[in-house]
Amino acid sequence: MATTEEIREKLAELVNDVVGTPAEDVQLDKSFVDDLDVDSLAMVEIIVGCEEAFGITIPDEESKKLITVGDAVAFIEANQ
Amino acid sequence: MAPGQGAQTPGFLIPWIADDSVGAELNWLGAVAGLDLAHYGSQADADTIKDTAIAQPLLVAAGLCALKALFGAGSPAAAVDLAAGHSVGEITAAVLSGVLSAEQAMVFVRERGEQMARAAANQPTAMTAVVGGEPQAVLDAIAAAGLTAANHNGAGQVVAAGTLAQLEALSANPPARARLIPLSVAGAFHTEHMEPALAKLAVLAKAIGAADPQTKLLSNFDGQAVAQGQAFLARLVNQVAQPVRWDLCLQTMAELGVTGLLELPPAGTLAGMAKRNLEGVETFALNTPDQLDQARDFIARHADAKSAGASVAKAAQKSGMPRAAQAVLSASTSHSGAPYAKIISVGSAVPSRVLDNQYMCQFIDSSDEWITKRTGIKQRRWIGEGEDLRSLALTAARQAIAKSGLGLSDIDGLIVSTVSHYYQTPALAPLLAAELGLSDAVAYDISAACAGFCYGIAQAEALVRAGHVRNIVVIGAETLSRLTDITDRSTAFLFADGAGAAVVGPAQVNGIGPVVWGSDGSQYEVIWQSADWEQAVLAGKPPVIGMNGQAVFKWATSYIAVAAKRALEAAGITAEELDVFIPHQANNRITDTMLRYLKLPEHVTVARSITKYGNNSAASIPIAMDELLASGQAKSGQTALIIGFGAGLVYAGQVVTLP
Repeated sequence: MATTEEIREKLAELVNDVVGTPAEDVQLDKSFVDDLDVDSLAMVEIIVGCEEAFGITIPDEESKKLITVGDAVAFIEANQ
Repeated sequence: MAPGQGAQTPGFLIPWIADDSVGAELNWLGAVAGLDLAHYGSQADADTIKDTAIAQPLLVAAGLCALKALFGAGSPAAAVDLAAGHSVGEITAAVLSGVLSAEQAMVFVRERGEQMARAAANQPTAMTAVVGGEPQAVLDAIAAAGLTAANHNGAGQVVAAGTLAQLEALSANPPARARLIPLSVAGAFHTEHMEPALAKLAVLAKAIGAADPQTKLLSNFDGQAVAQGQAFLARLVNQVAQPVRWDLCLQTMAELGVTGLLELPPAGTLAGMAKRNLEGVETFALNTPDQLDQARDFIARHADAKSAGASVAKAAQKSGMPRAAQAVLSASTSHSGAPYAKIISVGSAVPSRVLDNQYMCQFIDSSDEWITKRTGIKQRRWIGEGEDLRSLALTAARQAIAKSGLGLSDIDGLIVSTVSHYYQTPALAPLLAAELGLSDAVAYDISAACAGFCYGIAQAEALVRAGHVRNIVVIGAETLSRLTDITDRSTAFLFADGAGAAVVGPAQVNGIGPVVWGSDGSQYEVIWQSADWEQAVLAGKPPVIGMNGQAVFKWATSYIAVAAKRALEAAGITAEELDVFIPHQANNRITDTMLRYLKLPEHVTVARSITKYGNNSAASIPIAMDELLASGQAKSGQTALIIGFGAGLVYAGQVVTLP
């Protein structure tokens, strides 16, 4: 089981891969769209990356609710 | 067994001519062929009888004379269980089995020899036997030199054929532990160099009334027995430019449990090969008339050894009884198949009307920056005055056909992939075939949306290899602008018009890798048509295409990226070996994500034609391919991965050699 910090780190790596935002900026209180330059398609890529990395499924209706990095980390933590 | 070219030696018919009746037969066959065969078989020197136009009729006549001497007026087919010939020897075997008369055989072989000699005169070509070495390494070395493995003779003997320069390349880089032996033949027989010989022979073959074989008759094409005389004849024609698979003939003989093999004069080569390949099989090389009694004994002894079932069948046949209760369908169609298929050429057409993002933003709440960032599209092409689906498709197809160098009569199929043809029936393909001048061509449409071109290539490859068509045009053509809601801010800027076409035909080296394809109908609703045609008629307006862009994006960047990797693996190609990547031009962001997943190296050229042309569905891959080749970014002979994916959802991808 990955810890909260491990999940954040992996997520930060994915965000950096997909949109180039520095990994250290990817903190729990940051909004993907407003703070991290993630648009809807990049978000899909990040979701797919999370599904692979953590072996989970993130349904579309759930993914729409993931506004901040904290939302995503919490969802992954609860479902891994 | 009847031997092929190269087996003849000066004076080899002298002992046969000594017998008056055999001499008379030889004179008769020579009269039919218009050649003094008695002279060539007794007096002429080695160089004279090396001439293809003489050697071929001479060899067939020698075999036919020996058959006459062995069986008199009786039927050879009733006495033996199986017949096979090597190369030109196939014609002798056809007579033995009752497919051709001796006279038909002589006329055909005279033309075959003449046409092949003429084709060989086009440029200096030759053949070299490669003996020993590790089989795969030998084939690799032959392919690396640009040569064709024209004869597979079994037991570590392959004959390579091609231009003198290519043969020099082979001797410069020979396979390990193999010996190269140049053969004294005057051309690269059984390769593409012989293709000029096919046309005349095909015309002649049509006029020959061939009977069905009365004994098992094996074909050099695949070593299998052919049940229909006409089908065997069609194979005889095509075989001129196809490798001789004597190894497969030997394999079939082994599977059938053959116990004895007799080789007709000039005998020795095939008997020797049989000894090396088939354990426990007795061979007999018939070279002089004084062996005739022994030869008859040999045949009787081994014919007696044949299975009880075969004897019963033969007896039934003789008494006119039906051979079997169930009719056996013959598998061959009008043509024999090809070992491989390839894309021979490609062409494309886009409408003249260019619409930039600014123009589209009159109708949708969007911006040039937003569209560029999300999709990579800067402009698209929509049809204007005087342009329609048909005109685009025809232009692309005409280009591809012109570049292929094929005549219209060589092309007998046309597949169109489109979702923009407004008629449920009839399909667009027959109309295009007629306008292109393809008479009696197989023609049909397929509906596989943006995967359509790759679906079409997969079908074309299979049809060519199976022999259902010789050469076939695959067209992807769309006018999505007529199916676009210009006020839909998720699709208005995306969809576009265009057409691309490819000609697919037979090849000696594989040019189209295994297709990786499938569908996911559980996502039927992800890309949709707003109304069926009945509803549209009632509503008084045509339907439009819509989609859930994010769902498509997710599927494309996860599942399709994996499928692309599987297509590479299926073709045995590593990312390093790939030269060009041409995904369906749906969205540059999808392409980028696939690239990250596939880890394609820097040197791989990636198609980005969406920037200029938008997403024109089934047309996008051939258009991108044509553009990359025309601009020099990609080159003929390079290895490209193509993959299409779209409404259905459906997908298909394969690795191809660029034309």
